[in-house]
Amino acid sequence: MAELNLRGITKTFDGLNVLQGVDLEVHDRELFAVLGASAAGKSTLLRLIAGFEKPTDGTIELDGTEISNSTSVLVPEKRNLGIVPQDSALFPHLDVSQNIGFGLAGVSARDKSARVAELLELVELTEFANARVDQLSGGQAQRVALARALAPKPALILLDEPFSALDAELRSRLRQDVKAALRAEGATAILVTHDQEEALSLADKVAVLRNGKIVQVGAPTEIYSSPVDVGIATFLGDSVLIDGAVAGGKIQTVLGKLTATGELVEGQAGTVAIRSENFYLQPNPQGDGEVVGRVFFGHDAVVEVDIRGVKIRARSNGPFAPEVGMKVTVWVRGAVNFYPGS
Amino acid sequence: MKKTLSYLVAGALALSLTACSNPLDEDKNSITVYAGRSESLVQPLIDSFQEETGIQVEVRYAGSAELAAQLLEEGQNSPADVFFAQDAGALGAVSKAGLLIQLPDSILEKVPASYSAADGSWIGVSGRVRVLNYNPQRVSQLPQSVFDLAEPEWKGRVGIAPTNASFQAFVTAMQVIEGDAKTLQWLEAMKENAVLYEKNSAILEAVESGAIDAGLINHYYWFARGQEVGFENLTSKIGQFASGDVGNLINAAGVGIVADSKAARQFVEYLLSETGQRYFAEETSEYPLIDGVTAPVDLTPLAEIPAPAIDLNDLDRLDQTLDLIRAAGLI
Amino acid sequence: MRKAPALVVVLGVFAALVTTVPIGYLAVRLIQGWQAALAEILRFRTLELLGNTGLLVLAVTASALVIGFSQAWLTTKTNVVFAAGFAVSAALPLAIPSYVMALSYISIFNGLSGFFAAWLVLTLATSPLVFLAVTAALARLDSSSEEVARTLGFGKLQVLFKVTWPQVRTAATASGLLVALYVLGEFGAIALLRYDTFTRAIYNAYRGSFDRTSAAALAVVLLLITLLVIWFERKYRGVYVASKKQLGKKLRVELGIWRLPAALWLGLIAIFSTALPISSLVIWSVQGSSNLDLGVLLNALWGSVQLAGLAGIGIGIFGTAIALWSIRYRSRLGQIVEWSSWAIHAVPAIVVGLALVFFGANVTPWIYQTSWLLLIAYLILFLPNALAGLATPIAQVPVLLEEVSQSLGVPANKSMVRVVLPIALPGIVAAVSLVGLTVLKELPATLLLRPSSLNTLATRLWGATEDLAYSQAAPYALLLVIIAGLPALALNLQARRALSEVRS
Repeated sequence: MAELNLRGITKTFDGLNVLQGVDLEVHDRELFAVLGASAAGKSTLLRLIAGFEKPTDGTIELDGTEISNSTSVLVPEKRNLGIVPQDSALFPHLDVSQNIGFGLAGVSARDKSARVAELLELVELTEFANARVDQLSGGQAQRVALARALAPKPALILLDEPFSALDAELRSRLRQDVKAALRAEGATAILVTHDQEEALSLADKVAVLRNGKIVQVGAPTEIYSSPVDVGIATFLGDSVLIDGAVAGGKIQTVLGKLTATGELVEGQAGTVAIRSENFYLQPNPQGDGEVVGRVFFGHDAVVEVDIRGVKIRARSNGPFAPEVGMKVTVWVRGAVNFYPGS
Repeated sequence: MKKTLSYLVAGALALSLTACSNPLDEDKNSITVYAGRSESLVQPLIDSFQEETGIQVEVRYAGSAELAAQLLEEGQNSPADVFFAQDAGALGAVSKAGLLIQLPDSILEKVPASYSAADGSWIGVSGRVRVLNYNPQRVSQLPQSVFDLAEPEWKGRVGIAPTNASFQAFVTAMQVIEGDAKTLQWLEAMKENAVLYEKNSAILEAVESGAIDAGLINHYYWFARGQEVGFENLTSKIGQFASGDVGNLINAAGVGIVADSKAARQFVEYLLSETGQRYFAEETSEYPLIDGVTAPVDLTPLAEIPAPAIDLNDLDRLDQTLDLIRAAGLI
Repeated sequence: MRKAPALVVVLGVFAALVTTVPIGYLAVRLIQGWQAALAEILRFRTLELLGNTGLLVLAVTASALVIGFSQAWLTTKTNVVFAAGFAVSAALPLAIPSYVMALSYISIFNGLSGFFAAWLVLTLATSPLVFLAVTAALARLDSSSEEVARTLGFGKLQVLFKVTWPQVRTAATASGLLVALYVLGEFGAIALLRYDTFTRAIYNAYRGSFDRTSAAALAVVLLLITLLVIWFERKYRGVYVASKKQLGKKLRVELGIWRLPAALWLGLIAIFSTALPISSLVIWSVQGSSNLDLGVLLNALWGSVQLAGLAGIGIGIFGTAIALWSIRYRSRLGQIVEWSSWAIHAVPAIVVGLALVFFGANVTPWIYQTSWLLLIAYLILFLPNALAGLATPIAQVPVLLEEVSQSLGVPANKSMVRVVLPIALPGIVAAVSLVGLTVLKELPATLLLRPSSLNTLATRLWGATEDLAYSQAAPYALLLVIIAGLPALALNLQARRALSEVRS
């Protein structure tokens, strides 16, 4: 069982508040992602969990035992965790098998090589068993780093933006491989990243970290469809923001009356967030919208439409995206998110 | 590449670890000799001593004055057993500090009394004469006195070795006979005139090669050179000053025992044995001091050298000599 | 946050004590005989020595700067012929120990001695220091400022003086001060050339007086002067911060009709600093080959190698411990220990030798005149060199690797052994090898402290030179160049390439 609990974690560096009152709960076998922009405090969070930093305030508990508080910190080597850093950080003086087996202390040679072979197979690098570290590609190195972290069967795996150093195509392939490997090992993992695609596609639960504070925690679909404020709405995915006011249970906007989720107070003005992909553009010579711009990506396109003075960006199927100059009627699919105030 | 080079070099250096001589080994069958003499001149004799007796001799070669200073510095802690000095002055200084034992009469009676310490703390083993080594093509008329070398006409043409014990002993003699003031005057003039060398052998070399025209050395260097390359091949000659001039000083190389032991005494006795004395006579062309061994025929007998009248025991003020030499700026 | 393991602390503190206590004893000795010491210092002779030393330092520094800078500028920034070749030849004299350089010149010009001889030999021996420093600085320069100056109408020479020089001035001045320090501590060459500076006077006072307090007094005066120069050097070094920009465009100055004269100048220096000395040594060696006592040579070689090997390993262990303590454990005490070994670096070798003779003879007679005392002298002299070479490989291992190792269950100190040391090892070995090679060439301390039965190539060379037996000395000199000088030069250049120039 691996249950990690962060309560009220605060970390200050030289008067700068990097983390404030962070609460987190990670359950056994969960793949938990902490999503945040650069310098939001993600790496610090990971270092606190790993035991390389001491919290200014707050506690960290692993399986019910307190491992960090503001006065004492259990040393990293006793925490039974694994780290996969951003650039794999493989030991250059050891080969792949030695790297993977590094944390297997007090284990017989036979058991050690068996476990190493098991992991090599898990990350599909069996033929690289004796390869030198500098002979590996970026993706291969990251897989070795993962295998190394998994080898001692740690309670928790910490991944620090593990794919950011790789190119796009490699990234998506590797992500799924990593997820599969973690599942196969039954590992509990915390992933910190600034890449929303990564967080949404990999994690069971996502926590959004902004300026040192956790602003929302939930399953990917949940936080995607119901971002708790405008900031998250625009941070996660493409959102279009327009003004609106509550009228008769619906939100009155320039696009018409839209259905919103959540509690609505009659007459309240605020901002409406609509996902770009939730627009449907119907070609209509009498339509109120005029296509003023289009960027073609192949599988889809972002179409800029001017409707009654308001510019919106809609995602549209590539081959069927309206051309510039066309007149369209703009429809909104599904519910939108309404944020009172501005 | 860097790795290979580094490992190669490291490996080579690490090989040296395989043998580490521990000089702290104290074999009671070994002695340490501080020798203020030229290694090339005396090592063969010491080697044959080792062969004959089986006693290991560890020799420290340096200038006699330096060794004397070292003995004074070390005091009772000194690792030396025997002090084999080039000249009486150094021996006298060490004796004055009470660092030399009284030699037994059986040793002292081997040489004439004028060549040993009055208190029996050291004994002479070979005699030497100060000479002027000169290039006859450049020096038409020999200077009458060593004081003539202070004249401006000798500027840059004469060589001395102020750090050499023989020179220092000669300066001591000058102090004793002529007084400190005149000696200092001469030394300061020599600072202007003379080219300085470390050793007598270097002076000889310089006169032979023509770098200088003349130099003050001990007689046997010239003889040794002549024996090596043939006297007919030597450019330079040696000569003496006027009778009684301090430049003709007769001195003796000698030994004293610092730490008494059977081995140390054996060493001293060996130097005074017929083998040892014959070595000095034949190999290094010095004057033997015991009866029964004759000086080589080429050498003027000691009694006929126009030497100044001085008791070697009076040369025991080496420290004052050194002060004077340093005051003149020669050291 | 981490405490260094006991072993590291013990090694570090031991090294600190061993290096500072004997030097402290020098002060004790002086205080004991303060009247004689004062008398010595107040002699006119001391003033004479001050003048001689000062004059030589200034003259050599000036000429080394001129020659070194001209070599650097011509080979890096102009289109002189054989630029690459001359760049190599400019660094080569570093492979020749200065006393070997002096010996080779004495053997060519019979009776060479005095100020001009010392000036010539030391200039040739030290210009490479300036050359290397200025070359590195010039290589990092972006030519754009020079190009702009040219478009503004500056002539080539004006660009050199008004644009190029100010940018490399700090590097050049720092290396100039290095030259000054070198000349201050230089013994072998100056003694062979019979020019009276403080080092020679100290040696002669040591050999030529019974109360060696005068030697100690002169030693202290020299030490004070050296500290003064070091203080200046540190001040300048602190200002020097190089930009880490990638090398900009290289502007090659067209020399036009000056192309040939410039090449002749570089060629002349190469001949005088390398070709002439080496040829002389080779010729004398051939002449002396019939007389060569191979047994004595091999014995001396063995002595040199033994000492160098032991010293290298000992200094390597102490140096690595101190470097780890100060750099990776970031211990305050460790940094103080590191600083103290650098402070001792100011002490010229002959002074170290003298201090240890006093200390050994009076305080620790059981190691006196043994190899151990000599090894301690090498530790004092060369620990700073080791630390300089060890700093980069030890600092360069990413902390992240240590953290990953810890996360895998390996405690912090074991991580140091399992991760940091193996990765830093090639760099450590290179630094230690360089120290060993430097020990091979050492002269003054070895002369004073060696056990009676131990001879090195350097001491044998010295003895032969005292006899003016050049054919005897030459083979030793050549051997020193081949087994110590050249590998040291190679390692040195390698280290410079790896080293980033940023200092703060």
